[in-house]
Amino acid sequence: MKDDLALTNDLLELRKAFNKSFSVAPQIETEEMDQAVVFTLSKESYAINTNFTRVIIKIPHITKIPCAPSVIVGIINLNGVIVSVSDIRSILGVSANEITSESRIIVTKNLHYTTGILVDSIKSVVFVKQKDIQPPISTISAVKAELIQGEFYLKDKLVTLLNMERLSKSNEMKVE
Amino acid sequence: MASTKKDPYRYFKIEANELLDQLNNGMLQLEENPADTPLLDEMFRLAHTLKGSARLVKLTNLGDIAHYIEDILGEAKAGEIQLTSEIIDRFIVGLDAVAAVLKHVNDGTDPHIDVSASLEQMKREASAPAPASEVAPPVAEPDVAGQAATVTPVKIVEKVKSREVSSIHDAPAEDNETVRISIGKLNNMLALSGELVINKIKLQEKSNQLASVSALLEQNGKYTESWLQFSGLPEFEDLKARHSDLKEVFKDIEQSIQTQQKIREEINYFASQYEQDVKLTHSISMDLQEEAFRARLLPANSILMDFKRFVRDIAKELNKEIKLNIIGGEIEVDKHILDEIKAPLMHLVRNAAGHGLEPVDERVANNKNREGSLTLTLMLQGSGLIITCEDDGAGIDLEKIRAAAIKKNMLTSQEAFEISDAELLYFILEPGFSTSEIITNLSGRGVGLDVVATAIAGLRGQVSIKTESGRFTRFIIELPRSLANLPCLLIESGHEKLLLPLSCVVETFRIEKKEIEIKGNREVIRISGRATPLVRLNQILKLPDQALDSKKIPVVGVSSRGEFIAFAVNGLIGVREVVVKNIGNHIKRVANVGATTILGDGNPVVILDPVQLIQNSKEASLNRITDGDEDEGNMDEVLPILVIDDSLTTRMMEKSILESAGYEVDLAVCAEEAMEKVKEKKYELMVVDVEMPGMTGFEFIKKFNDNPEFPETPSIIVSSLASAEMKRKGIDAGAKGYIVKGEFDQNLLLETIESLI
Repeated sequence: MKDDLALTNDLLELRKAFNKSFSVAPQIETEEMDQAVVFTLSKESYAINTNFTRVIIKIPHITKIPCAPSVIVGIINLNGVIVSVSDIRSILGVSANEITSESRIIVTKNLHYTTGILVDSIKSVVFVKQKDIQPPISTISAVKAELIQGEFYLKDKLVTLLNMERLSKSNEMKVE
Repeated sequence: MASTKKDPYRYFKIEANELLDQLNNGMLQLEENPADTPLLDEMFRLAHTLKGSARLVKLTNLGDIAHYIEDILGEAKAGEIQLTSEIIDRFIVGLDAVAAVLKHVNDGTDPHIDVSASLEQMKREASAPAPASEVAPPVAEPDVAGQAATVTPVKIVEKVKSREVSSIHDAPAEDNETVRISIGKLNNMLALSGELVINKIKLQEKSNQLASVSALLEQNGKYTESWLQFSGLPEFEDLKARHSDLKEVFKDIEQSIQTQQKIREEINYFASQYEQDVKLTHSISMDLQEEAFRARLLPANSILMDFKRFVRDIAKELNKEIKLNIIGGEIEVDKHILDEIKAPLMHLVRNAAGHGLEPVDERVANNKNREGSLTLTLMLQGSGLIITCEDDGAGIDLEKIRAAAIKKNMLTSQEAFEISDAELLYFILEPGFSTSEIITNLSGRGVGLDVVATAIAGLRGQVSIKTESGRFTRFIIELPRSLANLPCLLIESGHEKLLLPLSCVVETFRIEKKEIEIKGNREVIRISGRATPLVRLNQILKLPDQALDSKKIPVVGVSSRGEFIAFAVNGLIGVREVVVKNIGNHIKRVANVGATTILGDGNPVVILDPVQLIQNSKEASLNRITDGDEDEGNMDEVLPILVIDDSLTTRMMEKSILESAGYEVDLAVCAEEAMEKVKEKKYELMVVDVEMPGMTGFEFIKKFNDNPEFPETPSIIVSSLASAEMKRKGIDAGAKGYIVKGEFDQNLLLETIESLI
């Protein structure tokens, strides 16, 4: 009889867990989570919403485009398609860095054009609650603030979330 | 309009629907950002093109609306009015009316509907404009429903070149047996077939690797075999008798030789099979590319048919007599090029009829035929297409251009008198440049010729103009026949590989630094007696300097618009057929860069734009090649190589191998001649044949080495005599290397030479 009770309790527990698994899923959706790729430029941490990232690749052969502005580092062959590589550090006022074995290219998507953003290293891919994204601090200059969607903390480290739509439309990124 | 045979609006409707989409889209953008000048320019052109095309197919109702839109946009462009949303609303009314007309065109019903109400509404200085939805012509709505009901569900409507989500303006399905496919899809197929060709090249390289593996095995086999020679020696028999293991070892060696032989056979068999497969893949991928390419070809007549009527209408309107001749209309051209070239050609023809050809009385007074002649000629030249549009009219008045250029502040009066006639001529291709004083129905709004120039440049083509006062004006358009494959010259400059479209490359050659003359502050070289400017390519492209070989500077002669400039480069690598690729729509105009491609090694390469290159070369002030001689003098200089062989084939083959590796080569047909040469000149190395008339190669090497007056120069024997005895003889004579012709291979020769230098 005692054993029967234990079994019933176990079954109840299982049922609870089962029900919980249903109720948890919608909770995540209503929490308004954003997924973002966190990377570094010099020593600073930045992030791009994964809605705008197609793939992250190691640095392949980059062909220079003569006479192109310095933001456009060159072009690469991404599976038979030519993709430009952009170095956004000068736009964000971050000092330039050499390409190392840690360097990566984040290829964008869902923007007016496809380009590869050159970064010094990839840290992680994280989920961020929208309420945790704060507006950028006021010390940032107006031009830069335009390009920043907000900031959030990742293990006590401040990460700047870029506004990719604005950044991709900024004049420095384009040659027209 | 129930014509079953030919739809008079066949091409118009494709174009007009597209223009309408672009206009609609652009209007909405303009509403957001009325100060977007490039967009405004673009819209102005679109409206202008729509007007022209509409009048061409005699849709005056549509033409009038487009004309009005163009007018307003023109005023906005000139800054006379502000584009308020109220004005945009009026445009939308107009565009809706255009859509209504096009709907009839698409459905094959009579499109000559009355649009005066819409036109009225647009023109009314509306104080309280009605919302666009209310003023849309009533024909649109019910018809849509009707159409939806009649379209059978199985028909798939593929809208050509559609960039937008389909709207009600889409052309309905046509009764035809063919499948219409979007250019985008076809382009993807072309791009993929291009990739296939690239991959084929990689496969080919693998087969070369296989061959070298097999060669290595063979070499290894020989080493192993040489061990066996010992086994036959009498002193070895003793050894073998004393050490029984040794016998086993030699057995193993024999076994190993057999196995190696088997492996080689296997590899060779595999290689030959592989080779065949690669060849098959090659021909299939080439066929596929060819087929995909041909799928885009249409006879040029498909766009030129309308031109005759178009010219007749213009002639009537202007009271001129004009005969249009079309030559080469049967030539098949890439569909995309045809689409893009139609509007520019129309502008050229309109321009020739309106401005070029004189009125009848003027022609008669000048003893010319009453009837002006206008000739459109299409020619295929190499892989390119050349279209000329020539009229026998009064020619272009250079003074008018000069005056207009000054008036429009494009030139100061000082500049205007210094500029050459040829350069002045090209001002008519600048945006906003029109010399016509009166605005006519035809042209003269400052739109037109710049459309031509822009469209041609977009197709990686060139426009050049020739004119003679009182006799003729000729526009020459040079285009690639296909946008898919572009033959290019691969060069190296400033540590980068670059491509130049072959169509602009006139010649390539090498010069010595001392051939360079200084004229003013520019460097020139003489090409068939003519002084030609010489420019370092890397400087124009702002690429780092790469030391030039002062003895043999590779030079590419590039010509565009009748101008010729010689570019000094670091290397001429060869001709490549490339699949042209765009970088992305955020990089539209980088100076000097036309497009890009991916080479066989998978790396992207930039294709240069010759027109800009020449333009920028003229303006730039540059460091001279002859500067800094001392620096380059310190470089390790490699002396030429002397090739001595009585066989012409061998001589030329060795010469080309050595030259392509960057060596300078001198030739001698016999040892006697070589003797004369070595007395005059120092050589880095000599490549010598054995059997020659007169002195043999061995004798020559010995004689050379024995003579203390000659500097120490290594020699390599390349001979068909393969015996070991011969090799020993060669070594005895003092040769440093012995290569047998039968196993002759480019890399072997070059490696041997490199090890000796």
